[in-house]
This record gives sequence, C-alpha cells and structure tokens, in this order.
Amino acid sequence: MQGSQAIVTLTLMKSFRFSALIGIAIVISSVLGSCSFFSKKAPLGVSILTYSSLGSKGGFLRAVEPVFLAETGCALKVESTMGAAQVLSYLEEPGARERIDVVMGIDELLFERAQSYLYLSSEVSPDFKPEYKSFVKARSKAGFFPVDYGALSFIYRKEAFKPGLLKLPSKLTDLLKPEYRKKFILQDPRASSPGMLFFLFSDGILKISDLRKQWLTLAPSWDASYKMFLAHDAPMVWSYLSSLAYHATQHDEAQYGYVDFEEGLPLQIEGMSVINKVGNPFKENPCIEKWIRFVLTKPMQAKLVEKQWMMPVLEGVTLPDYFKGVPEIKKVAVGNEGISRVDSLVNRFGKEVQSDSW
Amino acid sequence: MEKMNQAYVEFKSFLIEFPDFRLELPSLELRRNDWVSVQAPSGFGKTTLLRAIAGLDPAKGQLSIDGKRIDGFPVHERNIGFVFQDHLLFSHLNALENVMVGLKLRGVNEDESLLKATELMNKLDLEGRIHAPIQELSGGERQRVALLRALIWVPQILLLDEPFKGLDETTQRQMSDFIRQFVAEHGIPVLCVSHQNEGNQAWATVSLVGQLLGEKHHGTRTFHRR
Amino acid sequence: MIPGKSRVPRWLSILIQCGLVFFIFLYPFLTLMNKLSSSFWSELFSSSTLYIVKQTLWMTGVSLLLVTVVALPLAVWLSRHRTPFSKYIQSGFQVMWILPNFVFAFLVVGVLKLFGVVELYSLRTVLVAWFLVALPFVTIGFTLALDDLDPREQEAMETLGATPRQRFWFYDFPKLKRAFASTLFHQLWFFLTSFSLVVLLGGGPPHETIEVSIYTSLKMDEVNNERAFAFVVWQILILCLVRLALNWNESKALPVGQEWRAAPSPKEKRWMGKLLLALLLLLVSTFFLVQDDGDLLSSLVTSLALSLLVSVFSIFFSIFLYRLRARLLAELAAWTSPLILSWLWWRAYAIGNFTIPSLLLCVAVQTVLFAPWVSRMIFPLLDRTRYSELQAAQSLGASPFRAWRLVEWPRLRADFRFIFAWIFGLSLAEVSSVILFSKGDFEPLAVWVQNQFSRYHLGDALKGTILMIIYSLFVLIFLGKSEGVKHGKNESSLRRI
Repeated sequence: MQGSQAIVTLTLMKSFRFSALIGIAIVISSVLGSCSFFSKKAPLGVSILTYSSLGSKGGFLRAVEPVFLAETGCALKVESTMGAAQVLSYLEEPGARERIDVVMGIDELLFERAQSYLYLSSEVSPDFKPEYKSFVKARSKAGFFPVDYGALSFIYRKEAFKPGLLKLPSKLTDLLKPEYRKKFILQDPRASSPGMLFFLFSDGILKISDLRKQWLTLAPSWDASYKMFLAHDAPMVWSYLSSLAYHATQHDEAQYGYVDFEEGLPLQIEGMSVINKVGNPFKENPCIEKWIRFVLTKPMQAKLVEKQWMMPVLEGVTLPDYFKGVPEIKKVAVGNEGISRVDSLVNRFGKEVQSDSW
Repeated sequence: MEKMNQAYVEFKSFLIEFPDFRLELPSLELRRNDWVSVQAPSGFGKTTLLRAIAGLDPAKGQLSIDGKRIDGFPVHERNIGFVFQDHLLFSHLNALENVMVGLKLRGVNEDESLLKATELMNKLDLEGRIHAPIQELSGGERQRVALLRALIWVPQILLLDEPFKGLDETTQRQMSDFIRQFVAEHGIPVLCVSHQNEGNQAWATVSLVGQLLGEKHHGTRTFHRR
Repeated sequence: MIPGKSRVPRWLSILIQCGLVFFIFLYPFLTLMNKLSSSFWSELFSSSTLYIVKQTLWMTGVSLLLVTVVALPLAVWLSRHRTPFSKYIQSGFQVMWILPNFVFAFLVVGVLKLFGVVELYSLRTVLVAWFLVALPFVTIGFTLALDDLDPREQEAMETLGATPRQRFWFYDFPKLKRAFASTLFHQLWFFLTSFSLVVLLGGGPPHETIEVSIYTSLKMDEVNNERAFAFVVWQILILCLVRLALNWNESKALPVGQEWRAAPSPKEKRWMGKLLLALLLLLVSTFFLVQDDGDLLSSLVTSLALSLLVSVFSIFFSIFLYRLRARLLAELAAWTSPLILSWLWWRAYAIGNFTIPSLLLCVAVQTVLFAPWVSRMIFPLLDRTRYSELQAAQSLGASPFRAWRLVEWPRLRADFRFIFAWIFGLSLAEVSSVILFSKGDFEPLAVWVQNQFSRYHLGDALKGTILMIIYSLFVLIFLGKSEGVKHGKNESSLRRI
C-alpha cells in the first residue's frame, strides 16, 4: 500500500511540479502584463485616483492621456476604484497617498470627508483664473477644483403624461399623491450620490415613511435605475438632466422631458483635489498644475461633456448638438449641505424605511 | 392435499428475446410444493430467466399463478419473492429492518412485523445480530437476512439465485432446511439456481435443464423439464 | 478515506496551512478591524441590523422550502423517466444554471409585467427570482443523488411489493435524505450570499439581505465601515453555522455504493453536434466583436484569461490542499461570501502600502472562493485512487506516471473536465469578486458592461451581456459528465454523498 501511495504521490508531485511550472509561467507573464507592481512612475507625470467611469477604457482620462503628454510632456497614471465612495478608503492608506497626486471625480460631500488628506489651497498660479459659471463660483472651496456638474430631476416619458392621463408634478409634495404611486424610480441614497441628492433635496419636505409607499423601487445605482426606466417599469426616474442629451442621440428626445420643481433642482458638482504631502505639491510636481490647467480648458471641458455626459463648469464651452436640449439650471435647490446633514439622514433613513409589511 | 397436487404455476411459451439469442421456457406446470432446480452452464441465462419471471426483464408468453395471469403485471404486484445473488440488502436499514420491509409495505402493523421477524431470525441463528447494521454482517448472515426478507411476507413463488454461494456446509444445510420447511408450510413453489448442486438436486421435484438448440434454431436456448 | 501518509511532513503541512490562513483571512481581517471605531459594537446589535438579519433568515427559509417542494418530485420524475423530454428539461436546467443572475432579474420582471403586476420590485419578486435560480441547481442535485442509487436495490424493493411511491418513502428518501440536505445546505449558502437579485429586484431598503447591506455600506464612505463590518460578522457567523451543519450532516451520510458503476466510456458521442454548436456560438460572438473598436475584445480577452486561470488554479490549488491534508482550509472560504472576501482583500492588498496587480488578485480571490466547491468534488475523487490497480500497472512495466495515466486518468478525465468547465462558467459570470479590483488597466467583461451602462452606451452594454451568455453556453457544451454503465464491475471503494 505504501508503494502505491508513493506512486500516486510521486506522480501527482511530478505532474504537479510540471503543471506548477506552467502555472508560474502564466502568472509571471500576467504580472508583467499588468502594470502597477513593476511599472515605475514616469519621471515626469501625475497620478490620478478616480472612479471607474472616468478612469476605465473609453473614459475621459484614457482619451486625453496622449494629448496631455503631447502638450505638456507629463505622463498620466490612473488608478481607479469601483465607485467614488471607495476613493476615500484609498486615501486612508498612507501607501496609497504616496502614489497618488490628484483625486478626481469627487463631489463636494466626498471632498468634505476627505479634507484631512487634501491640500486645501486653490493657489495654483496667479494667472490661473478659470471662468467658472456663476453658480459654480458661488460654491467654491479652497482646494476643490470643479470639473463638471449635473443638475438632477425626474426625467419622464411624455406618453404617460398626455392630457387625460397623469399630470406632471410641479412640487415635491405632489409625489405623495395617489396617482404617483409606483410611478417613479429613485436610487438608494446610501449607495448612489444622485439618490443621496434626492433625499437631501426632499429632506424636511417629504417624510421617508410616506415616500416609501410611493416609489417603485430604490435602485442600487443610477445606471440600474435608468435601465428600469428604459424598460418602461415606471414613467419617471430620478436622473441627471443630461439624460435628455442621450435621448437626443437616439433621436427620441421629443418623447422625454424633465420635471421643473418649484423648489428648484439639486446640483452635483464634481471636481478634483490635490493630495496633501510634504511641501507645496504644485511646486514639488509641476505636472499637477499642468493637469489642472489642462482639464480646465474649453476643449477638455467639451471632451468631458462628451465622455461623462455632465455639464462643463466653464463659461462658453461649445456643447455638442445633442446637448442643446439640456436646459441650464434656473434655480439651484440644494447647496452645500455638509456631511453632518448627510450622516443624520443616513442614520434616520435606515430606521424610517423599515416596516413589517411587504 | 388435492389442492397441493393441482397446477399452481403455469408457464406457456415463456420467451425472453435478446438481440443475438432467445431464451425460452415452452411450457411448465408447477404444483405448490415443487422445488425446481434450474441447471445450465455458466452464462446460459439462468439468472435472466428468474429476473424475467419476477418481471425485472421483459418477456413474452404467459405466466399464471393459481389460474390468474400475471405476465402483464408490474414487478411490485406479482408477489414473487426473489433472493438475489448479491443479497442487495438495504444499507440504510439494519438486519431486522431489512427483514421487515416486505411486511411494512403490505401495511402489517409494527408489533406484528417485529414479532414475526424476530421469530424467524431466531430460527436462523440471527438473534444476536438483529440490530446489527448490514455492513457488519458476515456473508452468511447477509444471505440469511436476504432470505428472510424475501420469505417473511409469504410470496406466491420463491426465486433463489445462488442462495448458498460462499456458505459453509453447516450454514447451507441450515438454510436449506429452513427454506424447505417454510415453503412446505405455506405451499410455495421454488425455482432455485445453485451451483451447490448436490443439495439442490436431492430435494428437487423438478429439474429444469438448459439446452442450446443449435444454429438451425437461431441460437435459441431452451429450458426443458427432465 | 485518507490514503495513508503524505510525503509532506506534518509540521510543514501545518506551517503552510497557517501561512495560508494568515494571508487569506487573518491579515485582511485584522487590517480592517484596526481601522474600526467603537461604534462597531453598537452597529452589531442595533435594531436595524437585527431586522436585516431576521429578514435574511426568513427569506432564505421560505425560499428553501418552496424550492424543495417543487424540486423533489421533479427530480424523482426526471430520475425515473429517461425520456427525450426529461433530457431536454435537464439540459434546459443546465443552461439556466449558468446564466448570469442579472439576466434572471430582467426575465422575472418581464414575466411579472406580462401578468400586470404593479409591485414589480418587492420581496415577493426576490423570492420568485430565487426560486427560479435555485430550481435548476436543487433539481439537478437531487437528480444526481437519485441516479446514484443502485438500480438493483431498487429492483429488490419492487420484488418486495413496493409501489413507486412506497419505493420513494421506504428506500429513496431514507437513503438519500442527507444527500438532499447537503444540496439544500449548498443552496442555502447561495441564498445567503445572493446579492445582485436582491439589489435589483428587492425594491431597495428595507427589503435587503445581509449581503446587500454590506454592499450598500461599502458604497458609502467611511462612517459606514463599522456598519459593513457588523454585517460581515453576522454573515460569517450564519455561514459558519450552515457550514458546520453541512459537515455534520455529511459525516452522518450513508455511503452509496459505486459497485454498479463501470469506468466511463472514453469515446464521447455526439461530438460533431457539439462542435457545430460551438462554431455557431463563436461566429455570433465574432460578429459582435468585429463591430467594436477594440475595447470589447480587450475586456472579453481579460475575462476569458481570468476565467481560464481561475479554472486551472482552482484545480491545482485543490490538489495542493489535498496533499497537505488541509480539508478544513479548503472549506474556509465557504464560511464567508465573495463580497466579504473581496472587500477584505481589496483593503489589504489592492490599496495598501503595496499593491498586487488586479488580475493576479482576482485570480487568487476567485481560486480561494471556489476552493470549497472544487475540493468537494476533487477530494472524493482522489480518495478513490485505485492503488491495487496502480500496483498492477507498475508490475506490468508502467512507470508511476504512465501507471497513473493508464489507471486513474480515464476515471478522472471526465470529472476534471466538468470541474474546469463549471468553474470557468462561474468565473465568467462572477461580478462581486471582480468589480472592486477593476482599474483602468483591468476591466473584465462584467465591469465593462457596467461602465457602458453608465455612459449611456446601452447597445454596447447589451452586446457585452450577450457575449457573456454566449461564452457561458460555449462552456456548457463541454460541460457534462459521462455516466457509468449500470451493472458494471465490482469496485470496493464507496463514496459518501
């Protein structure tokens, strides 16, 4: 028995060794094929931490990388996370902060949370004076460089709101009317920033326990909710106004509209910030300033619009034709509310939404 | 007595067909206490014949028990006891539970089944092994349990496929005495395939012998009464 | 049955196992625990946490009951009726088994809309979806167990007068109840770690499970690390209990004799049909790929490479654990969920002081995650090594490797192919253990599809989804185990189910 066990052992070990060699070869080639561990940072360059939409293939950063290099001589290195929220986890790690120069794609709330890791100065150079739109300038913060923005509201399908059918809501309290029961899709505020902005927008006006009976679902993300909307699950979905631009590309923009609430519309501004390291990062690494300047030019702003489907923060940016139908925001509803209000909402949300009936 | 001498089991043109040969039992009548010794060379089809009688393999022709045709009946309605060559005891049951299965299936109450099974197991020297798991039984013990399982509910025919295989002479004798006594008591005809032929032939009242009919008959194998 | 002494010294085996446990679980766990504040304890026993825990247990219990009630009679029917129709049903179940969960989600919603159901997103919808997803797995599991019964014993029952119903209650069920329980425990694990169906169909809070609560906590920023970790602790506790119950159940399981099974036939029938179907699928996928500018192809190649590596490494990792006699370690990943393990590894190894390339991390995390399932299949196979036949082969002049190839490989080949194809399909559709590690340079198909949705490239997203299904089907063609022939030669080794 021992002899035959030795046979099996030896055979398995031999074939295991052989296969292990192949496995190691595959692993080594994979590792060499992947970038971060072995690749060295280019001597001149800037490392950007962002989320997947901005940083993945087909995203803004990949598209402008060669242009940036050609114009400035600075290389671009991108690390991206699943979503914007994971950016903060990254910033908590000292090792990660060492590698990264700029974090991009954070909104004002995330900026507030990450402040202890960021360089809180917008003093890039004296001549750096981007022509921000007025409402963007009104919300400026030291260390936060706005990059794009989006206004949010309900996008609706016009066929459901023809005369004799549903009437468009004009104020938030209309959503509690019986005719709007199961007629709109929201996003989970704990998992989605558009969703959070809705609940911040409606906080104090609508009770979550009342609203709970009305929404069709709280989707886990904006894209999941929009898929449901396009599948005709509900005639309204909470979304960015730039969704109208998407429908323009599909040549069905005439079928969709947005709800212009009396209370105004909430605004989400995304931006970038510099990681706080020893000394003045702008002086330590000139590529950082070059990057900020690069993004805040009209051509790059137009590129952002094309790739991110968000609105440019600068005045006078030429929008693609399909963005012509996206309205400029008339009244901003929710300003910089602060993370304390967000934390309070999140704490209340879990309790207020629980019920025993389903 | 008269009833015992009347034909109880009848085979008419009983035929089992295979792609390359046929196995037939042209006609046979058995009385209640007949013991049929089935003899043929190895691989002839003795087990196949028993399986066909039990309904486990398809067969043509007629099979009647007590004047009632059963050849169209499914296996579980034929009331034919079968002691398999490999015992085929149920490993999730102990020895006693295996013996009692046939009674439980017929709705006999627990106490009565227990009494009957214990009594029979004692007769075959299994009293110390009543609650033993099947895996712990010796070959002879398993054979006895398999026999009791097939007999306890009093089948209309008993089929034995190598019931004494691997058993010592004493156990063989004990089993064969028990079987003969039981079948005589209940009037059960027995068809037995056994290579331990001495005993089998000694008390056989009928010998069924296998014969190859030759190429002219397309490889038909037949069993005829000697 | 453990085949004797291993050549690896016991102390070395223990040392390696401890090292693996440290790097796989302890280090990531402790790294995260280090960052938590004391509010973790209040989150652990808060009313909202306990509500979710209670709801999760309730949902899984009801789903399990529903699926058992349907799957058991269906499996009995499939096992006893070997008709072309029953074979189509089994094949259909295999196809359903490998479909990505979000496809099920849309199917369920589509069907509900057809029936005019307004409450499309609710717990009821989740239960329906869970039922549909679980039915193929549980039915196939039950059917395989029933198929493993010795037909000769079933014949013996018939000769004793058992009707088909009696045969089930007196023989099939008592013999297989623990095998059935084993399938149900596995399904319970899948329910408890179910994520995408709940998140898409549940309608949002409060209709969520522990796994979803972990996800929503991760999507938020730092204050909810404590909340996420509280749910992680509950999830691990429940999964541990399920696993322990499963192990206890299996220790009591009856050995089911394999005596009646012969070695599988080396020749595979109907290969021409399979080849044609494979070519057709390849053609369809090529049609999609040529229309793309390269990103889709790149993501597809990434996914296929990842799945290929995971399939290969899973098998070798399992064999490696077998050699170490590390049965407990092989099971360990089943005491957690893909999301939890991925999150812990992401915090410890993806964004820490050193980074490991994403592809490598994903391969490693999925290899560990699939280890329990792969080991459950491979360990019994290796336990049944036929030493006496290996000796016989050697006595005829075969070298150890040739003896193994001659004796063992024909027996193992079909199973190894099955395991390879099964893990390949699972890895291809796996999202939660990939999405956290995705970076610009590593974008498997599942992540690419998600990014297309977020950019309004819905047509591209649909293409990507179809490709995922095509390649899963492709794998299914080569899935499938050759079955033993009944009334085969006598083998002394038994197997527990």
